[in-house]
Amino acid sequence: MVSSPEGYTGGWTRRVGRWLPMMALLAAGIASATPQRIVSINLCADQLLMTLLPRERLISVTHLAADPTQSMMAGQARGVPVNHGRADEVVRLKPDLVVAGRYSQTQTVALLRALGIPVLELDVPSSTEQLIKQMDDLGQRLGVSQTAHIEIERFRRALDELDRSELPNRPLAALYRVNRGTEGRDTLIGELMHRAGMRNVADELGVRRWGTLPMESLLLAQPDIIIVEQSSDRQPAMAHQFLRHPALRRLLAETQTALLDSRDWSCAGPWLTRPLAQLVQTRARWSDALTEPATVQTPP
Amino acid sequence: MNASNQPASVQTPWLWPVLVTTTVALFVASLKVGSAPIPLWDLATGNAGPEAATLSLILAEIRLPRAILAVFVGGTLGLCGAVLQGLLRNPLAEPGLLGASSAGALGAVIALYFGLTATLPLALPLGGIAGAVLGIMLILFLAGRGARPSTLILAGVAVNSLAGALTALALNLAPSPFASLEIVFWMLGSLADRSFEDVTIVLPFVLLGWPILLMLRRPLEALTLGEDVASSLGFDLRHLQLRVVLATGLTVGACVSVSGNIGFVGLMVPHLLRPWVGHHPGRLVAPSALGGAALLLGADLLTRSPVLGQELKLGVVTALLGAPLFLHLLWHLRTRLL
Repeated sequence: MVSSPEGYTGGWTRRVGRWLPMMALLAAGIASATPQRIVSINLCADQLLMTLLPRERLISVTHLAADPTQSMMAGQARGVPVNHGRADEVVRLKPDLVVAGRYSQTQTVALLRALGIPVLELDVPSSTEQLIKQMDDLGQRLGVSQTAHIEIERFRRALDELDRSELPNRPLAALYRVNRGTEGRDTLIGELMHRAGMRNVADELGVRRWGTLPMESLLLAQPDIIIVEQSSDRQPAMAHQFLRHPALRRLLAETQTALLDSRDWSCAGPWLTRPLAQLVQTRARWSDALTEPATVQTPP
Repeated sequence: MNASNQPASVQTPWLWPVLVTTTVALFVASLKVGSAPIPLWDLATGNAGPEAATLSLILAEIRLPRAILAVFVGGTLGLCGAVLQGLLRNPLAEPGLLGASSAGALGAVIALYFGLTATLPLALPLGGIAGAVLGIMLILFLAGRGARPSTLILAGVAVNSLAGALTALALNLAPSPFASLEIVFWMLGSLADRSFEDVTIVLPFVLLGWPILLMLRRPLEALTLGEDVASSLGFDLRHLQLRVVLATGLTVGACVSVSGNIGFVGLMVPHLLRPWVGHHPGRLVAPSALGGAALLLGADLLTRSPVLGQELKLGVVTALLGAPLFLHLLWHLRTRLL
């Protein structure tokens, strides 16, 4: 009887005493599971990580991230040590997590894993839903869920604001990438075209993901809008020669054109609202021109 | 296959009509066939309907330059194949297997990706020509006239792999991020979506080189009697060799610089036509130009076939057609090779 309160208090302290080390262990476990030294070996990962992570935890990004012709975050990458995606460089940085691309770096990833370095491989999202899921997962894994959720919310709101998919009149748009590439509905840019209230020539040609758009097919489709990928890289290559083709120049001169900077959409991220806004503007110009047919269109 | 089976003077009388008709028919077909058939007659008579403007744009700016380029490139490869086979007296000699084409591609790659063409547009064909000339000179140095087929093929392998490796290196070092992806074009060739700009790049060099190649008819004929007899007939062999090197370099180099490396045309065409000219290397020269044009027009039509839903690379088609013939030739030459 006497021992009852003591027994109670004693029981409580004993119970706390029993749990405390476990709780401490758990807390320590969470801390150690949250990587502190993160290295990215992929341009798209570079830009997502620069968006989500505090600077001091990102100890290296690829050299492409600092190249203004490839990366739209070159300014932010200034001062971050760069790597060239090679295993030997990465090992020396002693990372507790390496973030890589899923398809381009399988050899390096296998080697890093064999050396006991944890690697997170980022998929290439083919829809904004997949992108949101990727940001969410990344936030949890890196312990920055809050930042990730803020970014996701902002992204969702912008997508909703820019949504024109319900507009009745849907212009036919052709996406013309460098080296004659095009993309269909199962890609991010395809989805953006749909959200901007456009039909996609690639869909009508049966291209679901990536394909070639021969100039003949482009001319025959007689698109209302042409979306031209603008590479900020002007170094000489075959890739740019097709844009000088007289037939294409003729078509561009008489068609509404959107020039999308490839840096803005070559990687998936919340920045995709920028090309979407551009598409929405182009669509608006197209419908203005419909109501005022006398207006002479000038290509940008 | 054996020349002694046929009277030496026989040239099939219908060879030229057949070649001309085939080439013209394939030329017209390559204007007509594509992602949409173009009703040429209706377009000419103004009955093509609402799509007339688009169709005539496609015809004038896409299909016409493409067909003309096929004639120039195919004709050049056929012509050079016949001339090289005659000069080296070797049925396996042709610009592709000897490495002249890949050396030309290397020259064009260096000119294009390192900015020379930006300052001087002529740098593209000139780069191709420089590469092709060096390639042929290297071949003649490694395995000159009268070398055994095996020596010639090995020299070709060496030049081809060297030029291929240097092309890959140049594209890797090129400042453009697209460069390394474009190696497929340079290795396998294509005429898709080229324009009259490309035609004007090739035209002067074809006009310069083809007559030289066509005039080699008589010296090549004399060469069949042996080098000594040819010299005694007044044909200077060093001079002949120099003309072949320059003319093949000019034409192959310029063509490769706009079409990429397209193999086997120069092997196939002379081989297919040889029985119809009584196995005379000299008489083979002119028909090989037309034959090459017809073959490349046909191969380019095949690349547009919708079977795969994707355009094929032109060099893939010519290799699929030519490699079996190459194997066949090797099989028949194996006694001489060993």
